[in-house]
Amino acid sequence: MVAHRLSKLIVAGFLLAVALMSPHGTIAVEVGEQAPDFALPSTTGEQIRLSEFRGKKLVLLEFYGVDFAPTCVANLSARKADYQKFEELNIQILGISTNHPFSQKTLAESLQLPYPLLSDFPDLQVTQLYGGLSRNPVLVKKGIAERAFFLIDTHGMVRRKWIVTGGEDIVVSSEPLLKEARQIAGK
Amino acid sequence: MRYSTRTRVLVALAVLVVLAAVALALSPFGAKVHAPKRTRPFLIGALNDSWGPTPQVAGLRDGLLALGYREGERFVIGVRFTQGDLAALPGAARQLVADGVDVIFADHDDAARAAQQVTTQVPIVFAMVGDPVGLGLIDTFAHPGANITGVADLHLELGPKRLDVFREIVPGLHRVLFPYHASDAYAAAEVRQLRLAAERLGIVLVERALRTQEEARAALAAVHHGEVDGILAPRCCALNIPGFVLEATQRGIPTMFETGFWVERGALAGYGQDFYHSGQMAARLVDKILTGTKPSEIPVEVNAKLEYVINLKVASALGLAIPREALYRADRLIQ
Repeated sequence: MVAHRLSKLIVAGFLLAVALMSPHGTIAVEVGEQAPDFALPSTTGEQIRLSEFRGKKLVLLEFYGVDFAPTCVANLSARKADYQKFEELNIQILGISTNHPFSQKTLAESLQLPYPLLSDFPDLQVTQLYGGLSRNPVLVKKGIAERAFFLIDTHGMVRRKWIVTGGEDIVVSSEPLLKEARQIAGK
Repeated sequence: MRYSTRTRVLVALAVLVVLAAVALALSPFGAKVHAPKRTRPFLIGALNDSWGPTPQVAGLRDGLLALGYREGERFVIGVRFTQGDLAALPGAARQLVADGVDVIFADHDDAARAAQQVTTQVPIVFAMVGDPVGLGLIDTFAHPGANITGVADLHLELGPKRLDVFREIVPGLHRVLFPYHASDAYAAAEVRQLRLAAERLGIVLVERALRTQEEARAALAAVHHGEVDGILAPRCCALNIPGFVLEATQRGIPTMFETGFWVERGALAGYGQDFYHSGQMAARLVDKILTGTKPSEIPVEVNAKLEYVINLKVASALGLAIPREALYRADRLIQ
């Protein structure tokens, strides 16, 4: 009996270890689940905690790969161009990458982004918890996030998620994100 | 065996010296002096009027990696770019200083000048500067002075040759448009060089001074084939002039730049410095600064690595048959 329980424990432990060691990180958060809370340094100079928006705003988490990579700049700029539309739907955009806060700060200032960038450097914990690291074998070694979006409602629940596998060269339009947000907001 | 008193005294002294040396080595005073361990990486603020990281910044990064610096642990590069706005450079430089950068890496003379305006303390390493003495950035190449050093290049000197190369690949090239930022000192120096070269080569240089980005966009969008035979792009990214020149290529006008960077993006040809190499050279200078040498003691270096690039796809679209000699001489042919 004890041996049976022990073997189950070992198997469970093994599976957990495999999940933790996976290059894509731990099991990503799913739609319908509570969005794991986190606090990260931001380009505002303050730490931003996800839960501070609970009961107040929808949140769009945008995980991007590398500061200054043309595609990432184009994606962040696309959200800047549509910022007013996101504001009208009471959505707080938070850009997240595994880059150093200084690098993010210069990027945000250069692009004059109206929303903050959050640094998940050097632990990559939040990235692993959500969309995970890039599936690209070169990028994963550098600890670069997969392009991913999570739409979180005012109760802190994940309502939609998009993980753009192989999205290094893909610029995601704001429209599908806004369309889903409108449904959630009932507008 | 008996030893003399003198021998015994000498041995005793030797033992004392050894013991003293051991004690000194173990004591806090004798321990090797270590610099305090850094708790954060070196912050390098790259400043330019471009639209993001330039080939020079990529060269700087790769150069530091080749020197054994680990990105994120030993250094971080933040690129502060102003998207063609020269007037925004001093403010951006000021912000980098406020952020506590250890070095400012200034692309182009305008960025270097902006950095000089806002700090006499933070080391400045420049790249992509044609005539640093003439532009007043440094005192001499050997002793640049104050808090600045960098990698100069031969851009101004190569202006006439660039025009000559342009004529070689575009048969019948006679009227060449040169659009430039009206209030940029470097562009003024470029114009002076090109004017003399054009006269010698029998080319009509159509000079066009531009003051705003809107004016630059409109002026270059209105240029049509027949009005000029080609456009020579200026070095400076200000007002996005090179970007608008590139667009003119798509309307059937041959375009000549100074670097392969633009040729890869659709220009006809480029002749000039290898900017990536300038960045790699700058990495060595940055390394010297980070290991304690004052910038004023680091001579300015010159990047003499040139690159001649032709885009054959564009040439074909323009209906140009590139002479065989030019094909042989080109360092890179983009198919």
